[in-house]
Amino acid sequence: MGALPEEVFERELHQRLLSGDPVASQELAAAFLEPLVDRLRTKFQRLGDETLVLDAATDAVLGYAERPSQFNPDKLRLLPYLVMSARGDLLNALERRRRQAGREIPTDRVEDLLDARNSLRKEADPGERVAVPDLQEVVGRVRETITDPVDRQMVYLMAQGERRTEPFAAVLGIAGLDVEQQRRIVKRHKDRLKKRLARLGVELREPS
Amino acid sequence: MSQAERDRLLAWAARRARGRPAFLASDLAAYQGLHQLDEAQLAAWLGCTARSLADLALCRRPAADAPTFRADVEQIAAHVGVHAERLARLLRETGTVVALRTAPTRPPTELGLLLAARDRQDAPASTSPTEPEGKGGHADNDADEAPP
Repeated sequence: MGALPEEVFERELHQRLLSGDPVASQELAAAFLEPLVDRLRTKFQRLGDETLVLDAATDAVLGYAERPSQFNPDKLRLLPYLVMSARGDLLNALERRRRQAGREIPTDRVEDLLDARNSLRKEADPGERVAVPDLQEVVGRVRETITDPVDRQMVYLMAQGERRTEPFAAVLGIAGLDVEQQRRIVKRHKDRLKKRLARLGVELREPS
Repeated sequence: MSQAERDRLLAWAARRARGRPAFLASDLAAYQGLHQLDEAQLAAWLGCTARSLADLALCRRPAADAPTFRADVEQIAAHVGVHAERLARLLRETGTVVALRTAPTRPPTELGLLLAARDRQDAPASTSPTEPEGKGGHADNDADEAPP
């Protein structure tokens, strides 16, 4: 593990970056790249692709060197700030990768959505009993609206009553993240899809 | 972490910095392209090791028209261990190319006059006592030596 630079050194370096010292950015990279990569490797140890970690770490360091005024050393130490910045980039990169992978998912999996029709039902207006519309129509509406293949697979799993995080994480391409991060990201996507389905007048039954 | 691993990380960052004009990496890449140089050749011309090129690439790019240009170049040269005068020359050349590429299109005659004027302006600079000289700030009279 790389040694953590001293706070005094951090503050001096920050001032030198602010004043335009031309070699401060090199010293920053030499001092912080190593501990930053170490931290990210620990946080994302199951990522399986070090390129993403190195790019995110590098971009965080170079970004700070370009815009040092965005960092306030009175509020935070530099390494946690760089970790936070790199983590955001890393999650964005994973999201882009997930979307790209989604475009490559075979369409026959998407068609499985139709098999989930028995788990879909029309959400009845409160206080009003109305006839449940034709399920085929509801499924057709879902298919027209949710066009992203990954979202469709998520909906398929939800409609199947799947509650485990792992299958959703696999679909999202985030299986390499730690369990807590997977759980948070999966929940966020499920909540988003539930809202979209609700706007279509559809709610998914939670398995008892 | 080993020195080799540290060097690998800095080399990675240096490559990544090529796309960011704030860093010297973009100038080094441009100069390599202009003169068809590989890293070893560029390092030899600048008087440093290939390993030092990564350090150089991660330094902030001095603005050619800034009053601190000479001092910045000398500071970088001393910090990394390269020929200051050659670094200054590299920066002027890549700066000119970038300026020409990004300048609005002018009539050929006007552009020719501007280039001629710039040549006249640049000519005495290689012998000017105010020009940064030498590797790491030390004197070295090889300003006119062409890159390999």
